[in-house]
Amino acid sequence: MSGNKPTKSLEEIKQSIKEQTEKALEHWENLSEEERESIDKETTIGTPENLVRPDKDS
Amino acid sequence: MLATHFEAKTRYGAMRDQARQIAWEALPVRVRGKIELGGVDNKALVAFRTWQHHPNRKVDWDWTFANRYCFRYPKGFDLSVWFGNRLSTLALGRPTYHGTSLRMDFVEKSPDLPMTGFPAFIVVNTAYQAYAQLIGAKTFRIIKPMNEKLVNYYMSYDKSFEYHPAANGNPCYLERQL
Repeated sequence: MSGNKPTKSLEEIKQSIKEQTEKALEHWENLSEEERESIDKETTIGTPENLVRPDKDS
Repeated sequence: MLATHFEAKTRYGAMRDQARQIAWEALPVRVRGKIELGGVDNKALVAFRTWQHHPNRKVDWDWTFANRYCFRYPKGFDLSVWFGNRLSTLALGRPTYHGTSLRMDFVEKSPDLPMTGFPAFIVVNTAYQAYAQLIGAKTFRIIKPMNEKLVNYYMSYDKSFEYHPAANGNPCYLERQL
């Protein structure tokens, strides 16, 4: 695997992460209490199959 | 350990720290004092044991596999999220073979930590996206979200996520351009 150069400067990365955080929080705050609780409980992702799958781009 | 492996571990270790810092700094000021981000290190694995056998866990992963995962993928990204001294979430991911995408392979939230007012998975996603951009990846992938509800949730808050169904033995995933 070769390393790639970032296409954004550090400041641009920080700004994009700040915007992502704000967008996600705004959306979250507009959900009902019930929806929030349900999503919060189910934030599990992934599968142990990933440990043995070939290390190639899919 | 080969010199190249050691070099990658060191170089990418600095970027892992930087990505955690960027994600933390992007948090609202009101929650920064309550949340800490770290790696899946011994401290996190000790804390994980307190909920390892919890009946409400959605999966039965033994997170001690993180040591093998991190050794095998020195350019990978490990993350733990803490609320005070309580472990909230663990996550593991790695770049794809050519480094064009960062995969988030595993995320698990503690089953016994009540809603804290701030959803940990938001900071997990942003930390992964920060790391992806630091290593020059072009896309970010969430591998195999647990169910349709989560898929719909991610796609509703961020319209740039695209859903890719399982194909050719690969699991489904969500992907967004960075």
